[in-house]
Amino acid sequence: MARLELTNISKVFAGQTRAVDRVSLTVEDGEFVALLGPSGCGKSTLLRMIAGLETLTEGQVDLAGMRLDTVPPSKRDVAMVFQNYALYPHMTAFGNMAYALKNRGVTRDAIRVRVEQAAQLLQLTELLDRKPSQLSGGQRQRVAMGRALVREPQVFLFDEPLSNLDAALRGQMRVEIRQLQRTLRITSVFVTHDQIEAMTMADRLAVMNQGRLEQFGTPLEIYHRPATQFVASFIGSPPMNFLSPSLLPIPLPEGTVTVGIRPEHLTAEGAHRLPAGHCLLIEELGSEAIVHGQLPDNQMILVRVAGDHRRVIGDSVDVGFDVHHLHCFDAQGLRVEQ
Amino acid sequence: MPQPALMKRVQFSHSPIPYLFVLPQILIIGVFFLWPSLEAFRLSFFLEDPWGLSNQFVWFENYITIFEDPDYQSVFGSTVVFSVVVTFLSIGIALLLAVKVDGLLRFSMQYRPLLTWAYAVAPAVAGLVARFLYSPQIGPLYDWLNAGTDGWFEPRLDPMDAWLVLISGSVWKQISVNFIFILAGLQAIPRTVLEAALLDNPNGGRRFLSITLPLLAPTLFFLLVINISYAVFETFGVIDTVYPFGPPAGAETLVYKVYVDGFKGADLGGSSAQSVILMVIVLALTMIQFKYIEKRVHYT
Amino acid sequence: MNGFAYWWHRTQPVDHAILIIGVLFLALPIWMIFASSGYPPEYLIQNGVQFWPGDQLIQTYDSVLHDRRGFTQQITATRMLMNSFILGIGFAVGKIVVSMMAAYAIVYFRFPLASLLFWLIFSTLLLPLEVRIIPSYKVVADLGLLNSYTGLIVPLIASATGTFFFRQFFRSVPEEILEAARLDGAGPWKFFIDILVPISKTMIAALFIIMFVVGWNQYLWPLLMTTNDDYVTIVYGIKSVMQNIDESRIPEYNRGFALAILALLPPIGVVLIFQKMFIKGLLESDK
Repeated sequence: MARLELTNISKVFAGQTRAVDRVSLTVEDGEFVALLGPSGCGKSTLLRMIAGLETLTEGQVDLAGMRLDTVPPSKRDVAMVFQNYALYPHMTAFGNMAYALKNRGVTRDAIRVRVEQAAQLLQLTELLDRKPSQLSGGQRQRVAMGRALVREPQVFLFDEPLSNLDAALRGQMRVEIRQLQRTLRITSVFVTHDQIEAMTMADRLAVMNQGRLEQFGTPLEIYHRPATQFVASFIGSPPMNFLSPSLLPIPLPEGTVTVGIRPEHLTAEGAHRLPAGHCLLIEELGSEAIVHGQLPDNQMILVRVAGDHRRVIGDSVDVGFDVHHLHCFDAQGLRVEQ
Repeated sequence: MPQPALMKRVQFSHSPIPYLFVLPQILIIGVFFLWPSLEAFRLSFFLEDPWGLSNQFVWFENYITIFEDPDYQSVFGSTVVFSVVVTFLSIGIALLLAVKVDGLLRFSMQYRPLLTWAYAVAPAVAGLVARFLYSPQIGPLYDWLNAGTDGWFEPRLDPMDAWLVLISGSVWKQISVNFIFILAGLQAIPRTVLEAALLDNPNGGRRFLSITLPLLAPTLFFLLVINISYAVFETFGVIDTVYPFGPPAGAETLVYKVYVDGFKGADLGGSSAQSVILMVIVLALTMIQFKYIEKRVHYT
Repeated sequence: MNGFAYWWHRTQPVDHAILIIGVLFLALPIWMIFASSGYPPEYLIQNGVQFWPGDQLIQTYDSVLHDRRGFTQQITATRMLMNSFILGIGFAVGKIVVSMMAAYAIVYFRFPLASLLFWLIFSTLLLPLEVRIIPSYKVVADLGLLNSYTGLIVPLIASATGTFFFRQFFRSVPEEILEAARLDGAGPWKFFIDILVPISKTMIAALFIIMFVVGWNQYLWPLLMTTNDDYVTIVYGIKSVMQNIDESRIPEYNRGFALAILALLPPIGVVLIFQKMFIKGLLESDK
């Protein structure tokens, strides 16, 4: 059972701050976990430590009950797909996929069988004798996946593998990677800074900021019950509104410093009203619109409304909310339960 | 221009391979670079008699002799002038040609090989060509320069005339290298910048001076260094083939003098002291280059 | 008038005129040397350097390549060309092998002496062979390497230009390639042979062309190193042409010119045939 356990992992680069700060998380066998966070938050470093490309300053990695962080990278039974694919430019697609097996002393016939199987799975059979420069972006991506796949690893690591693709292809590869992972049931860790990628693909996602793990949970848990103000602001588009408690006409839990509410939860029908403001700007998206409103005290809010709203700039913005949609945070940015 | 880190982020460690791999280079440098350089330094403090039978430690006497020698001072001066003239002429001509090729609407690809091949000409061959074109016996340029006069041009006798021959041979050979770099520099300037300039400034000449030339500055600065080093060191081949028995007095460069004093004059100590002085000059130039390159040159 | 202005703008006659003058400025001297090599020396003494090729071209070149006569008393131009090829190729190959290995060690390994060795190698860029020519000669003489191909080639390799060229290139290779190779089980040796050398192919070729030309064109070092005619290169041979011409009553200009043309053809040929690669290599070397 390929259960991946990270215990209290830290990484300190020479003379710098902690890139990764005491992160612990467990990826269950066959689970697909996304590491999500802004650039520089330590998510790639964490991934590279699992791969063995970076040493651990503190902590321990275990895979299937065995200590992993003392094993050299090529013996770890993990495979990685890189952001720029890192294909060997002088080798054909076949050569790229076969190289690891060759180094392990797998026989030529066995290599051929395994590469061809993987190629079939990834629809690469016709392209095996092409070099990377003769392949399109999506095809290179597939070869990179194939290279990881033929090793039959216990863990799949993805380092922002879709960020070099255009939007349409990215959407398609998202689905393909997820289906493949479901079919093969390989434990996977997927690094991304794109919240849509993380939300749609992952079984669970780990949100990181400044080297720390902010929250680890299913996409819906993270959307509905963000553990910190950072998570609340990072997940969701358009982003959550943060209001000062004095604007709200209801009692709030002890210690609340900031109250968050998502733009889609500010409605005309809400049980409690916000003070009325006026409309500064409207972003029309067709099916819906984002209204930028200004409340008294110069407080700005975003409100998501249906596409047929018929508002114009200068109209009054008068919205309400339900109490169960509020997210309260204390001075440290931690969630306060109501 | 972001300065990349000195080394790769990821490296191998605990392997004997790096030592094995740098070994050949280090051995060659040790034997053929460090040892001779130190030897030059050591010899510069000795006075050796011309038969090599005895030598005597003389402290800085060789250096003092050199600095007091009016001959050395004049060779020093003419080397500086020669280098400056060669550098500016060869960069200037190459700049003109490169700008013209870059501005062509058609046939610019055809000109390129026609202007780059001369890179492959050895300085010694350039010297041979210059010598015969200016030769009193058979040289058309000799006849042409002296036509209708009482024969003012005598490159065998007059040092100024000799410099003319040496400069034209040295410049001629060097144009191609400069052309290649300047053309590449021009083509690296983003077209959009030039288009923006076109909208801002209708005057082509001013546009060249205020936009193109500053953006070309890194290339030109690099070439300045390359050309000075060429003029000082590599033109030995030109001088020695134009004048196989030595140029007229007053038409030598520093490197030529090191060679003549060391080999023909068998003054090892004096020649070594000259070598050491040359090394110091090169080091100083390099320092200036590193300091200057940081500050004054615009990078795109 | 409008039509004329358009024609003027499109055909750029002034620009072309300047460029054609530039092309002629570079080519004419060599052309006249070539043309004149087809005349007997007596004719050249009377009439000077010629523009139209003489009718004895084949005879002149045949004689220079095969006869041990005149200024080349001990050696034919064929032998000199061979020596030049040995110098050019030996220098280029030696430099590429030595500098690629050193650059690999410097870029891809962390080892205690790394930065010291880096600065040692870097310092060779500052001081060209010319400034330490006499002591270098002494060292080579002490080692008994005068009049040998080793003594001719190896000291020229001491400058680290090639090491910097490859260092620059290796640093531009994405780090992920190394990481992928490590995950694929390649150690330092395998990575060098299986990955790094093959992806450096075009760089190797480009550097080879440049170094071949540089080696071929060496003058001062062969001049010092070779006292035995068996090791005379063709560029050095030019010196004896010059001395002969200054000393003899009927100087053999034609044979001297032919020798110069023979000395030019291989490097120019290489540069023109592999022009794209050569320019790429040259530009890469400056970064």
